[in-house]
Amino acid sequence: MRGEVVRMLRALRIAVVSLAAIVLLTQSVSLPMKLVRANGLAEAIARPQEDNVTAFIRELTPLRNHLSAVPVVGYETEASLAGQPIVMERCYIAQYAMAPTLLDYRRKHPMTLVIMPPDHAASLDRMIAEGRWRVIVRSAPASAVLQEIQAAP
Amino acid sequence: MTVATSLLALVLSTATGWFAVARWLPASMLLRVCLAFGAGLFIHSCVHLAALAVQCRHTFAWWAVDYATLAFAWCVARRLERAGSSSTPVGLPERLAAVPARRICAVIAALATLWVTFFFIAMYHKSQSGVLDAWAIWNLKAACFFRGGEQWTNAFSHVIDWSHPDYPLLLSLNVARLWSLGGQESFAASGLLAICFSIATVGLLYALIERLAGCIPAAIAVLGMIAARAFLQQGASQLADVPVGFMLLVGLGCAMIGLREAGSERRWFCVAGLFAGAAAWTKNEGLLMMLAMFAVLFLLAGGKRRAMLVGYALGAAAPLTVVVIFKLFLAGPSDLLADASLARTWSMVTDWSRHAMIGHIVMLTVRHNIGDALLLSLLVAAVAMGVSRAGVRAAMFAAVTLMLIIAGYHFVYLTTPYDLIWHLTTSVDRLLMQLWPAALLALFSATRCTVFD
Repeated sequence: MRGEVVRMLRALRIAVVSLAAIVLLTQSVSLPMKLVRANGLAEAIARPQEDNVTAFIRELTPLRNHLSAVPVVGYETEASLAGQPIVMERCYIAQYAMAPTLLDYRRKHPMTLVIMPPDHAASLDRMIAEGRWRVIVRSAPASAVLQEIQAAP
Repeated sequence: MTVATSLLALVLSTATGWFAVARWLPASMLLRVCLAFGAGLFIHSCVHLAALAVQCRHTFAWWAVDYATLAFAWCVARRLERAGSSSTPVGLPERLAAVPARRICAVIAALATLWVTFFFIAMYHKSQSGVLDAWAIWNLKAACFFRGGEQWTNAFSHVIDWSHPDYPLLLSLNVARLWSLGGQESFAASGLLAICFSIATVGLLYALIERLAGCIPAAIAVLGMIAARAFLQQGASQLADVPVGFMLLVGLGCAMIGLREAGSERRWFCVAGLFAGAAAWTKNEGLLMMLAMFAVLFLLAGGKRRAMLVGYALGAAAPLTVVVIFKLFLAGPSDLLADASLARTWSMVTDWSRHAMIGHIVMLTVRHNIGDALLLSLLVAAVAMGVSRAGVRAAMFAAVTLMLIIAGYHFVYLTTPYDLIWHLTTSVDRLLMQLWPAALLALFSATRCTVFD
């Protein structure tokens, strides 16, 4: 009798563990699919798209010549420090531009433009309010950037 | 090309970690490889920092530095081997290795991991630069190191205090290392590193639980980990939370093996200390993890206390030295300590509405990011498998350490200078993922695999 109870309990435990494993397996397979659908990842794999940063760079590239008249800071620091027109292809995140090696440049050139994609602009508001940056252009499409540059004080 | 170069760089660092750490541990191949991955990234991050300090610049020089590091680790390994200190890979204890479902469990766990890897790659395709904090904090520092020239220390300038100049550097230095070896910046490198950390965490969890409790609990724990929404979303985010969770998992897991198995405790505790220190070199939370582990070891050690604590301290010494040097000479002030005063802290700690708010948002986050069904399934599975008495002490060690860490997080939230709700809602899900793998380890390490015998 006792042996039967033990066997039944063991069978029950096996059933419970198996059931839990099936639930976990189902969830671990289905959750990624749900997230793929929710985030449009299937399209991203099938037809890789530029993210907004890359698209912004591409859009700005033709403006290089127009920008040469204004001290624009991208992150190509050597060029910026030498007062050369900025190389826009790789100016993809304005926080990069503000951050690393441009601090000296900013001291020498208080009139500084920083170009950035619009959706990254929010975190700069505090800096503008604190007067750390004189002019900040944060517009897309590229034509609007040019207008802002021309209208800058 | 960048992906190939980055992969080669990661293989190189893993080889260094193998010769320096993993080779000396009596463990399965999977566990050794995962340990080698983490140890190599730690070693090469320190070497990269030293090379930056001496103005190393060219791609060729970076490769030379990395190969020299590997060669040095190999030479040390050879010397130690001649001295008879080497250790061969060991299989599982007989009672665990004999489980008939072992191969099936390994295949299920591997396929599930492969499945989520495709998800991570899809996430990378969608957002190559990672989430906002990835480029505003971690990859920004990497960019400063890569392009900064003589001014690489501007990464810690107070002008960019929003980028947290006090955050440790393991991740940023490794991204900068991949960029330096590839000769260019690339999101592929930082994305690859993020995905590798996620996969290594899954592999490590499986290897540790298989070692401590057997293959069935290991497979269930792995399924539980990858079925959590937050793990999937953060796996490819390029933040440092999955990496610090990896370091914590190694630290706890090695200490648990040392607590449970006789023979080479000193080595296991030494590695536990090394990775606890590496956690502190990955994120500030790692300091709390390291101290919590030390405190609990001190309390639970029993007869082996001296061997454990000495081994742990020896292992933690090197990373702790690096962290102290960084905090003293490079790091900016912590934003969390701004305007801190005893009176203000006391008033916050005794404000019970803050305690309630933290509890409420943490519960909501757990339910959203992990889910009731998943939590229930894991608990039911663990209870049904039963408790292995031999594993209780090690599991207690992990559980108490995690509780101490959670208490520490709670205190930081209580005293935060930021708006409490904002701080909670922007970070609790990430903290949860730091602890999720370790929580699964604690839960399943004391279960019994023999239920199907």
